[in-house]
Amino acid sequence: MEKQNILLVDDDADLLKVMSEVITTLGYGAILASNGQEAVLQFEKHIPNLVFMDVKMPILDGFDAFFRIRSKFPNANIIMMTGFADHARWKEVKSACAIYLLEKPWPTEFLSELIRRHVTTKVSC
Amino acid sequence: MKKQTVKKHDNLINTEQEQIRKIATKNNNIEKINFLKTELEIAANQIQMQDAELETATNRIQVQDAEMEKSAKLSAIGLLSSQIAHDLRSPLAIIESALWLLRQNSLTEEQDDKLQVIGRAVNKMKSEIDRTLSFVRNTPLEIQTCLISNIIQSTLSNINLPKSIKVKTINCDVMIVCDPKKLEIVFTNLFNNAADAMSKSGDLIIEVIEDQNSNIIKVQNSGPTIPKDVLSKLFVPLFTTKQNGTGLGLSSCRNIITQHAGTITASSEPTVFTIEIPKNLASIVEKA
Repeated sequence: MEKQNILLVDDDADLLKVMSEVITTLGYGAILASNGQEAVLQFEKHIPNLVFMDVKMPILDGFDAFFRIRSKFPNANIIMMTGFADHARWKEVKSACAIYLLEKPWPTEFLSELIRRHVTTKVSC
Repeated sequence: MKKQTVKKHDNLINTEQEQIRKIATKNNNIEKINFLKTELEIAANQIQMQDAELETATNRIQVQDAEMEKSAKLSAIGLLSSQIAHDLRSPLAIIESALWLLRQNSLTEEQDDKLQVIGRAVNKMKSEIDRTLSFVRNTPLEIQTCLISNIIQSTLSNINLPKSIKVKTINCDVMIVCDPKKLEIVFTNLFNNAADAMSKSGDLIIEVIEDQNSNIIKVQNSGPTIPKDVLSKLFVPLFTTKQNGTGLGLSSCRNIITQHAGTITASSEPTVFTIEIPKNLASIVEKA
């Protein structure tokens, strides 16, 4: 079976580093992007099974990147990550079928379960 | 000769008429003056009244100014702490993930022990951030019906009360309509405060009393008496008696209970915090 790929998007290089190690340890492939714009390009290139997208990022923030990806790939599985939830904008992306708002920090066991549940399902919106 | 007499007479009449006119005018003027005097008195009274109103208004503005200054201070703190929270949560996620990665390898007892210490420190930081944020952000209630005893148990398992503190629950198997996560924040604050107040040992008693329209939760501790001047300021934001306190704990408790359309009060001798939450919370929230 082909390895399932997960796109990780965050402007903190260390977070990308440890998160990608966690994800490869869990048996998935990791693709990295450090802002929303890179995330859109990486998504188009790799069509990952799941995306973890930080909200607050330079150049293009997570919410805008979400809508750009969603407009081209209506079935994209996207989980938003945040340190401090902007609930108004979260409602906006939730109504466009974002899967979950993952608040930092998270127990890895929870992350693992979240991936297991959503990596193969297809969002239809 | 006759003509002259008539003329003289006429003149006399004229003078008399002139005088009468003058007197009449004088009377008229006096009347006018009296009238004006009354008017002036009324006006003076009105000015006095307006003066008093002005003073009340000035006082009100001063009070409002003070309140505005306080709320500006609070919103600045809110902004700052939400910024800090966001900035701290990413590094915490990094530490937590790195810890998990380290634990995937076989560790010596010494290494495992140190990693556990780091893990506990991370948890402490997380709960400190959550406490600050629960004050800052006013997220909508997520209402459920649950057992009060379950919320209490969940709270007690998340905080490390010293073993020397005896916890006693009375009649806590009562169903309540509330946001359990938020109520847990309130209990966490009250239980931690109680533990701090009792320093090493004492009794923490939690009692639920069912009223016709509300659930009343009493949290009592056997700590020292709270002085009167402290008691009146307990729920004021930024007020603290602890060396490392933020002064946000009890004021965020009050925010949460107010959100539940309820009340929280404190009384001393013995120290009791009383929470009252209406049973028809669901319909109150629906209307809002």
